[in-house]
Amino acid sequence: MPANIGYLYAAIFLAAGFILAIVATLLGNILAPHKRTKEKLQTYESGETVIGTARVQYPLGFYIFALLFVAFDVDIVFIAAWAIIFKPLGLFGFIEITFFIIVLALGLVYAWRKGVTRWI
Amino acid sequence: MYTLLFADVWWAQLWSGIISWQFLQFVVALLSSIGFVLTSATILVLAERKVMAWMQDRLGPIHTGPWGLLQTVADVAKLLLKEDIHVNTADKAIFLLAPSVFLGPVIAAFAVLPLSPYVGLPGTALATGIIYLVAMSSIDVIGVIMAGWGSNNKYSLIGGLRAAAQMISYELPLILALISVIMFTSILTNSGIGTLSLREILNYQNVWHKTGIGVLDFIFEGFTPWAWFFLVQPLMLVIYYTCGLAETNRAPFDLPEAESELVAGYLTEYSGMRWAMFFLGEYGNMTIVSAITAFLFLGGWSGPGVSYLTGLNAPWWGLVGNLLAVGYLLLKIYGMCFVFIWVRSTLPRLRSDQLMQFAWLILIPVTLVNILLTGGIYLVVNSLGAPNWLFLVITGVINWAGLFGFVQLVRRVTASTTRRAQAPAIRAQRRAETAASLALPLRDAIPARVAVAQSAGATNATSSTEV
Repeated sequence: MPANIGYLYAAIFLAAGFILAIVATLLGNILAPHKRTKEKLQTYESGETVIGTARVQYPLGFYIFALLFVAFDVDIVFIAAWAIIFKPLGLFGFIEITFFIIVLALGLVYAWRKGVTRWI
Repeated sequence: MYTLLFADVWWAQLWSGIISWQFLQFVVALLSSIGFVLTSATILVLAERKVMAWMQDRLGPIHTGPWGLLQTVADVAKLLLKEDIHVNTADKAIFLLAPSVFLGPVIAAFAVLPLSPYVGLPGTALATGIIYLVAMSSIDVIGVIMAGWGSNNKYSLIGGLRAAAQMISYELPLILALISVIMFTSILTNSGIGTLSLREILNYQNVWHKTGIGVLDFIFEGFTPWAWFFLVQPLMLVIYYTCGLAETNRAPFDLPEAESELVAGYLTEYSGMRWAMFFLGEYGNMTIVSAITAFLFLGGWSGPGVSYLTGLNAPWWGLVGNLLAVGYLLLKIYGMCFVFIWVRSTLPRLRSDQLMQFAWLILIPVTLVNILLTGGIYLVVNSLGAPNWLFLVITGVINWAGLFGFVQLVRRVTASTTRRAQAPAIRAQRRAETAASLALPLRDAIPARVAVAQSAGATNATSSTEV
């Protein structure tokens, strides 16, 4: 049996979760009433008449957070890989990761000074 | 299984695969873990309402069944019978798929959770346990964004974007807080190659050597609370748990679904079973966060009697030991879930600027420094030739000190950011007060502007009681 068999099982679990949600909603659809009215199908806007669409411009801050996240997430995968073999790498690995984390921190300080985290 | 998929006579292989013992085991495990998610959510919903009622000195649900125990069953029946409304301006495909994308990863995360020494899927042996769990929890973000965008509703979109920004921001300290535990697994093995598997991390929290005294062996074999990692890394436990709160969008991090501003956030347009699927996913996520906390910091399923009974090589005692193990694990999981509810009824919601600054300027630096500290202390201790337990003690002492420092830091930062945020409003209020006191003094305890407006209106009226 190959060692990676666990991933196949995990994939089956993922698919099962997908199907579970679909089956449950189908069940709900069979049991529930279907009385559509024009008002019911309107977008909810606190009971007011809908004005325009929701697909409008939204703050750029979200986008910058996503960029920061991608950078940091890739770095964290690297740190995790280092952490597993921390002892054999010893001082050499520690100095390397210290530099790595300092570079990371510099990026964070840059983003902070640029006011990214100020949000609103 | 790979040979099964790529075999020459695939149908024969498939048949022998289906009737095999292993496959049967897998099906049972799959169904039972889905059942566990469903039951766990049902129990947690009721528990949340009851516990919050208890904390707020109310009764909570009491009418459905004895002591309100059947409340969630009634709720599920109600949700099944609710009409499933798709808004006509919604992006149908995205709107309909979002619950599946949200729930799938939650179920998938259960594949790597070992429940007891024997009961565990082949998935529990996944070499990338922790990384896999965190990866699954980050797929949830996609479901949330799909729900927000697909609804084509302003509240949903804002809620979805907020949730996404929050979830990805808190995911970084979440995994960084676990890195030091991974480092411990590397330090404490002889080979120096650590592990990411939840099941193996449990073994590192067990330091008991058989003494031969029956009672002591029975209680402490595999159960050594003084070696659990929460004693060595209390600060990381707190940070992990905080990030878990933010990942599951629970109070005090429930900005994405803040009722007072966003109705229900990305859930606004969902109704009936589709909404229930989101709910299920959220409570499933709560269970997973609690389970990871239990495994990494609180010794997982270990408790008095588990290792002793399963080590006897007697099937029935083994069964009892496993049941005990499941019981201890559930106790720890629901204990952590109780803390979720406790926090919800204690803390007010964060402001959105505090939310992002807390993740990026406090949690991430603290966790990064902790990683460097852990590594540095080990290298110093090791170069002096001291044993591993001394390293653990020193790290523990520093981490406990860090915990108290962290609490003080958060307190001061909260106070200062609140003062800064309130400053313009207070200034404006003062200006208005001075202006009002100069121009329009209070008349008969009615605020000056109202009194003026009233007297202005009263000039046209026939009778005025005020003047």
